[in-house]
Amino acid sequence: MRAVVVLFALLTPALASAQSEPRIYVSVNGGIQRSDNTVSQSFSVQKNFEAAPIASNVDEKHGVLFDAGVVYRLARHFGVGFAASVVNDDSDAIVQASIPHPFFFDRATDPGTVPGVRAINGATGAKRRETAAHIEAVYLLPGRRVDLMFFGGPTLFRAEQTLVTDVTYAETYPFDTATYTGATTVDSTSDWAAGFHVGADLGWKLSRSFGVGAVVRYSRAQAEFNVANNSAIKADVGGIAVGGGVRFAF
Amino acid sequence: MRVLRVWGFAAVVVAAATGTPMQRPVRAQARPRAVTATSFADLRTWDATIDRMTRDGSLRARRTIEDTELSGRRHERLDQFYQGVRVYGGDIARQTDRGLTASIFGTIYEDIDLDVRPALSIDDIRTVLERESGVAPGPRRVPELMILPDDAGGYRLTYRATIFTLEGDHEYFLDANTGAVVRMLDGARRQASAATIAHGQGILGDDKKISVRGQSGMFVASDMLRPPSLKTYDARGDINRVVAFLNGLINLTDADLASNASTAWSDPVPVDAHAYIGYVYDYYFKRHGRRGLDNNNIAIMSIVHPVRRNDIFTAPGTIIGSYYVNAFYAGDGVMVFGEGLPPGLTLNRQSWNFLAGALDVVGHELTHGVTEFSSGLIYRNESGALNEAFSDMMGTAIEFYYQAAGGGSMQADYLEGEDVVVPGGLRSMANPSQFGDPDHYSRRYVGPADNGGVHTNSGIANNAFYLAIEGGTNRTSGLSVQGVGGANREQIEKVFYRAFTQLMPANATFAVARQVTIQAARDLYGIGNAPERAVTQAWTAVGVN
Repeated sequence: MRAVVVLFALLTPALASAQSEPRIYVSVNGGIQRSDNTVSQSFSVQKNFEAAPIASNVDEKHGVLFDAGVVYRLARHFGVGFAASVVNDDSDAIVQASIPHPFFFDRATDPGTVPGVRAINGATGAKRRETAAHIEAVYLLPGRRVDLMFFGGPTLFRAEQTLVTDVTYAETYPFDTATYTGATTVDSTSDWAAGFHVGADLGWKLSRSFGVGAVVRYSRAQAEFNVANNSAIKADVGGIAVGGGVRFAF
Repeated sequence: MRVLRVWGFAAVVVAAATGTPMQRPVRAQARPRAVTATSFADLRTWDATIDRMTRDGSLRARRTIEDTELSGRRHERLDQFYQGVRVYGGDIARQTDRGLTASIFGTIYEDIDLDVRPALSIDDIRTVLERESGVAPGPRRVPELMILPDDAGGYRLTYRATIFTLEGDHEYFLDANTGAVVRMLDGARRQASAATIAHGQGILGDDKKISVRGQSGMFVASDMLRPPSLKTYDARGDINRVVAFLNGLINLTDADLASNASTAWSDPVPVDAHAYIGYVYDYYFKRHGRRGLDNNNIAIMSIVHPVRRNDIFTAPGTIIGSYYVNAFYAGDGVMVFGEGLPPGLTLNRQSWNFLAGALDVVGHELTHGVTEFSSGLIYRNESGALNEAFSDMMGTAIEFYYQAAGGGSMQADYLEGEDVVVPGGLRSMANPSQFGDPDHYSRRYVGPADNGGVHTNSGIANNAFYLAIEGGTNRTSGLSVQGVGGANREQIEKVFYRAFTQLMPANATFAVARQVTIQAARDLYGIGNAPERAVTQAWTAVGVN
């Protein structure tokens, strides 16, 4: 979910005067975020007394956005705001691993062949939940019916990501192949990561204090996850969020 | 009327008259029935049983996979169900060969008599799990309703769920009616109570893996991963106990199994013996599709440390010859590995390490078991020499299957026992005369010693095997052979395996061996192909016509 702060101003074709314009604008939005973020893991676990390398890759595509925000107008065209957003994304982690043979060190499917291990691959569900706090500097263009605002500023992100910690597999004698059956995962929460955002909001007043609007925001930061067996995993958070919702002005 | 019954046995019929309070039936004794079917009659019976159980829903296919090693074979795994609920541990593994069933193994629980309607819901069980483990399972981890055969007898309707914590995974079986924890397995305990992998250095210092089993806080040399029972016993130098066992006077028990307190084994002798017996089984399975010595997964028991090395100075000569500088197959899947000689002590200017440390020796001895259950070559005169030769051939083939070719330690060559009898080993297939053995039929030993020279005249067939693979010239006849080449050794191995296990009569002579190996080459590769030519030339070169 993306936090969107909506500025309500009366925007007329002639940009009417701002007499009795509201000072406080509140927005609540739902929408989607396109992220194209990738979470890649590469680590090893011990299996059969050898290192079993595991690689996992999650391509985040679309997340469901919810956000809410408030803007306080300081002057005719300037204000400050705060917004909070939450984005939930359910993707699949593509998992690849190589499982050492239970009977042999450094042996592949058939003894006597080149050193190697048994390769498996599959997918497992991987959730991401991004929570963001946006501090905004706002430029307002109020109109009689339509309000337009541009905003930008720093963003603090905290993300929760499903990460792979191990794989499960099936094998039968003579164990020269293994079949992926699943992955063991953990939901890891990153520390707060600082980034930025820029965006715009367009509001259409249905009455003096209520309206509807749309928002677009681009935000970006890099978060770091820590999980057993893995070195720190860095991953981009944020993306392009598009949403719509209701607007209130006071 | 409800018929509460799995299959095939006396039906338990429970009246469920309207208005009559439902009584939970008295628990039946959990009765696992081991299913082992490899004979035609058994397979036919079990195929019909499986079909019937599949139709009535008490067996359901879990997965079917193609065999990656043997073309045309498939492996089907079926789980046992009772009234739609899976029975823990009840499953069948059926192997088919081009649609025909080749083997069936598994366990079926009988006389299940249980109301499978749980009093607790999955949400109730999630709550119990959270209380018990401190972790609430997520929506993707749905506890599975399952019938658990109770160790104390009977069956319990349970929910099974796996919970992961920082300490590892824990498998819970919760009573589906009360929520009580019926069984909880954690990773460590499960590892200690089931098949696991251990490792240790062998006699020559190489690290190798072995398949062991947890038992009473120890790890014992009992292979649970291969189809047959493969056990390695540590006699701890008690020769009288070994002899008593070999004579059928006592049984060896699990307490006699070689053991170690951890999965890092410290005694290299059982490590090598246990690992190499597994390798030999694997070779026969992968290369020839053979299931153990009798092709029916007969158990293999091997005994290490039959004597103490330091007792050699007071030991009679017969014991030294049998239990120190020897390894032998005692029949019915039993092997004994000699202890070798103490460091610094030599025999014929050769040092003798533990016999279990040589892969070709292990392969040689177990191949005597293959012969015992196949051709039954009589152990005297020419048939005896063929018996010995076949063991040398397969021992060497096994070496080449696992080890890189070369002349060093733990490298594949055509010497016998060279890794533990140093220098040089005991016999040479490439040059039998190096050890005083004949490489040509005209030089065969015809005396009575050694059962008519079984360990001597084996050199003739051994040299034929060598020449058929590598090619070259027989030193006595001067005849050359165009071998198939080391890269195609599998062809000659299969020819000799087929000949010696399927075509060879028990009292075969060398001349008969020539005919059956040629026939085997034709069977496998067609008339006039390279293997037939190589085998024919090889026998001619060693003077067998």
